[in-house]
Amino acid sequence: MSLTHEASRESANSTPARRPRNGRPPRRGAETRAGYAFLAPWLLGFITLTAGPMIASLYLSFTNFHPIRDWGWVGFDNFTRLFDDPRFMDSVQVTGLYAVVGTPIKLAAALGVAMLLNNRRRGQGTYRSLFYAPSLIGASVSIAIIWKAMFNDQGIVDEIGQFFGMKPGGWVGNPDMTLPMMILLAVWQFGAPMVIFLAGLKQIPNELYEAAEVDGAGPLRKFFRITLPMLSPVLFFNLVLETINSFQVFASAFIISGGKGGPANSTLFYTLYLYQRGFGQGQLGYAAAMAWLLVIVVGIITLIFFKTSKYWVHYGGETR
Amino acid sequence: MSFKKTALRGLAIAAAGSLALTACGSDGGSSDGGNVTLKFTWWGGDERASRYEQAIDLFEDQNPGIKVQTSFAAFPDYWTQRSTDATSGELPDVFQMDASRLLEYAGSGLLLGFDDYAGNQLDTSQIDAELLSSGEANGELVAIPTGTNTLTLMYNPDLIEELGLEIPDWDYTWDEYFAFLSEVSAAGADHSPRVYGANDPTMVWWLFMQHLVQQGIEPFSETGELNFTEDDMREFIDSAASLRSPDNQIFPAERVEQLDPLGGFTNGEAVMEFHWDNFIHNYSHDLDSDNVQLMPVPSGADGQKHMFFKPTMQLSMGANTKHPEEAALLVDFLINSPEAGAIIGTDLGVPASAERLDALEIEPGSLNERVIEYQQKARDEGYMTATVPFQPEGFGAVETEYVEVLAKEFDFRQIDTDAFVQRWFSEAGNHLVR
Repeated sequence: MSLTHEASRESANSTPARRPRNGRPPRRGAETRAGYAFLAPWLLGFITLTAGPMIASLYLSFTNFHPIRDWGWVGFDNFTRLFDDPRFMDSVQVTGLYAVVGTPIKLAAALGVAMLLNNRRRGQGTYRSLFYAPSLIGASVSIAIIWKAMFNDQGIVDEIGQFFGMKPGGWVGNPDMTLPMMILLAVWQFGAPMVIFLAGLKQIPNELYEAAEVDGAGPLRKFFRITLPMLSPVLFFNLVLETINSFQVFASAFIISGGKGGPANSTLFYTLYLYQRGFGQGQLGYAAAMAWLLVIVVGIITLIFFKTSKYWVHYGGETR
Repeated sequence: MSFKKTALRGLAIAAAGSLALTACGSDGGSSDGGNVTLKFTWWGGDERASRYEQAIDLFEDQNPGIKVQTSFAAFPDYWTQRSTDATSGELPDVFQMDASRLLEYAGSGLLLGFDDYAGNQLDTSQIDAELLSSGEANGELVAIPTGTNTLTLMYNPDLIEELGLEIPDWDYTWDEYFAFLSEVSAAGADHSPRVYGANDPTMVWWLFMQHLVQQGIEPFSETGELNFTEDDMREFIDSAASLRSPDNQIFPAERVEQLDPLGGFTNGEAVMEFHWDNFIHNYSHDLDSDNVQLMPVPSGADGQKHMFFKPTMQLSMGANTKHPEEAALLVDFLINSPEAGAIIGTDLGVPASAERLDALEIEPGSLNERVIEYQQKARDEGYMTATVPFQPEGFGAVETEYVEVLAKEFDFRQIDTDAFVQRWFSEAGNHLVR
């Protein structure tokens, strides 16, 4: 209201809108130049640090590039070799499982906590910061180390597990338990999607809930009939973002497995294997091929999300 | 302050910052006011690092114009870092080299030859000619061996005694070794923590090399051809099959993961482990006990051991070094200086330099004495009958495939012997340059 008020006052007092404020005629060329000048640092960075390396890596993916040895063009050899490589298949499986299981759990946790924090209460800001904190520090090396210690033999998780009758020995050395551990570590860092969900929840008009209550809807019904549909654009955004993120997990796996993807390939994430092939074994052409395959697969998955989104994502004011 | 002023100041700071960065980039190993900074890296643990650091301090005291920037890493990470360095043409001035990588680096012109410096800054006359030739590639001296080592079975006498067992005879066979591992596993079952004999010996690449040599097979030809077959490898791995099933009598893979970076032996949960004899320093440090003893490897089918000396860590100069003379001086100090020798001891193997070996004061009962005596005894008893297997280009990569990749999957029983052998041979095709 104040905005329109001020706007109307300005239009009443000021000179006609066409005329520039300082009275001089506009200088189109200078403005464009200034625009490009301000854009230049980003453009330079984009060309030298993103686009250039991408083109180079596409080229390298068709060679057997090695940092030390002679190398040359090998065509599609790298791509065909990938599918005969059992460790590549392991890494696809680990990453796929991590994305398919981890992402929904993480989003559910983020949404659940966001709904709890949505209601006004005392110390609300503190709670929000506390729940967001893991995302700020979660990707750091120190947390991965602490996480490993917690889940190792005689770590706190192991002690608690034994109290409840679980077999001692920790999760770190057990190939069946390392992936759940990595998923937990990811889920625990739900802060970023949580904040986005919170913003989304604030947008839902309270009138809808009031109306539903008058009609006798319970909490479950309100959640599925109002909250979820109204949140669907936000949910879509988070889903795309988190899926892409989960395909790119690297740092935590690198620290926890000491860069080896162990035990027994159970944390051999796609990016970790790519790193091993490229920098550990010097097969940079092979690694480049893996990177491009990842780009293509993530692209396809994102495309599928966008294509199917029209069936479940509802935008305000949309008519069907 | 006006906006314009702030913006200008920001720009000035950014410009200064980027100038400083470029300066760092190009100045990494060059002089500042007459001083020279050398980069020196090695692989190894904390124990070796503290020895090297002490020696470097001494070098800097003796050569006031030279500063040495040091760094170190574990063996696999170390080579990852060096191959990245090589790609960007920024190899350290001086770095530890291994025979398994020597031909790969030398063949691509990444190493600076010592020929111009030997006799000037660097004295190579104290090194046995045959040992020195292990650092040659294409007729040029590109790596200086620091010493020699040989394979050994390290054991923990205190723990063996605690279990009420006696170690096998000094002149034991593979069968006797496997039988002893079973005994330890049975005796250690009630011990807290549970004690095992050792890791799976067939998952150690160099024991496979030793096994082949005992069969009279030279593993690789000089052109990188394999002189052994899939059956040779299968037979070696299956020789320990009785230790794996029906009962597991080998140090469990899960526990290895939990203890990392320590191992079963260094955590006092396994009584023995095969390694190079100079690792006694690191192992004794990690185990926190001086009582680590050495045994030779088990005898082969003909009752002979056919052991060999391997040139240990070598020192090389990166071809991109801007200060070859100072770098050669550092190599000379690390190889020949009696003071450096006193600090490093036999951590890099029994010293290659005769002068330094003579100057080494060996305290009775010390780890140094044990390594030197072990090598002497093995020599006296006629165990050292073979030469070190030839390590062709790609040797390091196929070793990594064996011990880092396939052995891990095998230890967790995810692949069987056949899959192990088949996958190793298929990867060897990618790594070995023929």
